[in-house]
Formats: sequence, C-alpha cells, structure tokens
Amino acid sequence: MFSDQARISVVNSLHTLLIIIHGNSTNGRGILLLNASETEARVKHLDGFVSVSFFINESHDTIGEYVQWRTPGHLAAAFRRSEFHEHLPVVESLASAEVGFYSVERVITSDDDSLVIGPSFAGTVDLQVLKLPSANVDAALSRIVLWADAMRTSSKSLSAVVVHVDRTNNKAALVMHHNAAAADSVWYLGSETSEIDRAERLMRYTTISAPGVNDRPMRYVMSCTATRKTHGP
Amino acid sequence: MLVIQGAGDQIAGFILLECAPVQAECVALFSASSSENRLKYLEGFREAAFLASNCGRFALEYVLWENPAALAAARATPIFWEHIRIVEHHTTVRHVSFSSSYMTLGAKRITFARGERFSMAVYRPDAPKAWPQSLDDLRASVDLKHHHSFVQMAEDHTSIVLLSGDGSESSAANVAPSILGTPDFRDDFIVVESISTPRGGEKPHAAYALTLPSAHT
Repeated sequence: MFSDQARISVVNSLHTLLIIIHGNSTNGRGILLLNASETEARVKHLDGFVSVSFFINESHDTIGEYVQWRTPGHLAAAFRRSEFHEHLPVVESLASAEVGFYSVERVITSDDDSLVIGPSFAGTVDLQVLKLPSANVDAALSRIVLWADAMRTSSKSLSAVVVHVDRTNNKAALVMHHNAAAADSVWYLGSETSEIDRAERLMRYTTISAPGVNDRPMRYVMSCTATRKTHGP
Repeated sequence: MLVIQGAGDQIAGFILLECAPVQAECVALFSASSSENRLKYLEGFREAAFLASNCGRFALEYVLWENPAALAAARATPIFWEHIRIVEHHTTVRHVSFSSSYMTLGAKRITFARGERFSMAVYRPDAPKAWPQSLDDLRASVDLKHHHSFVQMAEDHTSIVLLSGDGSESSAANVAPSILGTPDFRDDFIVVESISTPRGGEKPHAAYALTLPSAHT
C-alpha cells in the first residue's frame, strides 16, 4: 500500500522511458488519472515492471512520466499484452507525446550516486529532451554533465540532475529535481544541441512501483470508442 | 478539491468497499479516473473523494449529487455502471448510505485534499433516533473546538457515518461511542483523489467502454 518510491541509479541499468504528454488544460488531469489508474490496476503486474512516476504541470496541459522496466525485452513483451496497450488509443485520441528510451548516464546529487523519488505526495522536476550531435555524442554528454554538476552546486533549489542518453537516436534527457516548488526552472543551453521537447515545472502526482506478493491485478477490458482522427479537409 | 462545511442541501453518499489485500489504493484510483473522465459530466454530479485505508484493505468513496432525481437519472445511464460493475466484481460492499441528512461538526471546513487523513466509523445504533436528535447528541458530546468531523445519517436512520479529520487518537470518532455505541466499522483512511464538477464549457473527452472479461459476464 502506497509503495510510492523509485530509485534512479546508473548501477541498476534499468530500461528507462521518459514520456512528455502534451494535452490541453481541460483533459490533462483526466489523462493523468487514466494512465495512473491503468498502471496501478494492471500494467504494474506485468513481468519486468519496476516503476512509473507521474508528474503534471500547474496548468494541467503537460504530463511527464518517468518509467522504469527491467530490460527492453520485458517492455516489448508487456507491449503485446492487452492490459498494457488497451488504454493507449484513448490517450492518443486526446494528446500528443514525445517518447524516449534511455539509459541513465549520470546521477548528480550531493552525497550519493543514486536518487530516490518519493515517498509522499511531493516532488518537483523539470524535464528536457535534447538532440545530440551524431558526430560526437560523448563529448556533448560530457559538457552536459559538467553543466549539471556546476548548476547543482550553485543552485539552492536543485537537489539532483539525472542525465539520460539514447545513443541509438542521439538524444539526451535531463531530469532536474528541485527541493522547492517555487524554484526557477533550470534548462541546458548548448550550441551543439537542439531542444526536442520541454516540460516546465512538473509536480509529482504519484509513483507506482512493482507490486508486493499479495497484490493482484484488476481484470477488465477497456475499449476505445473515440472516433479515429482523420487527415485532410 | 472537495471542501464541505455546514449542513447539506444535496445528497451525500458513502460507499465502503472491502478489497483484496493492498488493493484499496488501486480501487480508489480506478474509481477516481472513471469519475474524472466520465461520471463528473453527468447532470447533477457535484463532487467526490476517493480514499484508501492505511491497511490497504478498504476503499471509501464519498460522493455528492445535486438531488435524488439527479442521482436517479445518473443511475439510468450505462456509463454510471460500467466501472461500478468492475469495482464490485473485485470488492465486497461493506456499507452504502445515500442521504441528505449530513453536517460538519466543528469550526473547520473538511477538505479532501490528496494525502489528507481521516478516521471513518460506521455506527448502527440499537435505538435509532431522528436526525435532529442524533445531531444534538453529537454536538453536546464532541468538543467542537478541537475536532472537525463530518456526520451523515442514512435515510432510514439505521446507520451513522462519522468521518473525522483529526488524528485517530484524538478524533471525534473516539468520543462518539458514548453516544452511538460501538462502531460497526472503524479504520483510518487517506485521500487518494478528489474530483470536482466540470468547469464551465468543459465537455467529456476520454471515450472508452469498460467491461468485465467475457468469462465474468
């Protein structure tokens, strides 16, 4: 019950997804609740699931999801299950999403090489997705890590920066964790990188982690009844 | 966020569900999602709060409807029942009471913010009294300066729900047994989610249907 914690670490080598969902202010909360409910009721019971942390911004038009699976194979197997994908067409009919698959490159904190999200109903982050130059990904990453180290040291509100990398698609994702909700957002700017997406000042809604031994999934069928989007006039 | 203070002019319902071990938060979140995405758009819906017991075994729903006619009309729509069928398939209903006899006790408003903690007790008095008499008795016994509680009596007067927003050790639920007898049920809960009526012009968005797997229908 309320096992709402997630550990982020370079060492555990989890398959990490960062999802930024852009909806609108009237349906953002509904999407958040739908995804959180589906995760709690069914998805977390699939083999290899580790955790999802859900975040939403103040105007409720942007949602961030920090997802951890044990391996890419576990996620691929889960994706084939109806319990995983039944709610996705409902969400797709309402919003667009930037989805990235990452590994954790660095966790920059004051006293540890790992970070724990939760427990509690609090937590504030900024998410930023960057395109890295294909010619020299490692050099660009090194500059990002140096920047993150300097920012964390100089900032009073920045408790941690987690640098993620997707080497296949030359992408980096930064998760800036703040210890004060009122703190200013912090963004990486680099001449060799371009920004793909940004989710400003998100508050943690909840973290759902893998079930305990007595936890059982709910069994039901969700069918999307939304009219498919059509293109053209 | 659901906030209540004073006497009711709407219809308030308590639904207490016994769940499988550690499933209360899941049931509460599932019902909250259905309410946010669909139920709140039904005519006459006002507010709802979804709570889970600390032990993970009980889910509690508190819902407000404009009047009995609105609730009856909502019950006639398929959307109203879709998630309820699934919830009731996974849980056992321990208590249901819908009534316009409810009131807050104490100076403070009752706020159902996420993470707020409540002690909830259901009483079934041996000699049921009328609502005004029960309310007077509770007011006389509860220290209103130090407790803030919400009390609801079932329409047939056979049960009383007391929801206390204080810590369980000092809650009004500890005072009430002298008036109401031993509670039939008592546990501590945390608010998982709170749903309000749609803002002006807001229309339903999420389009989906919920059914039990064919083996269960």
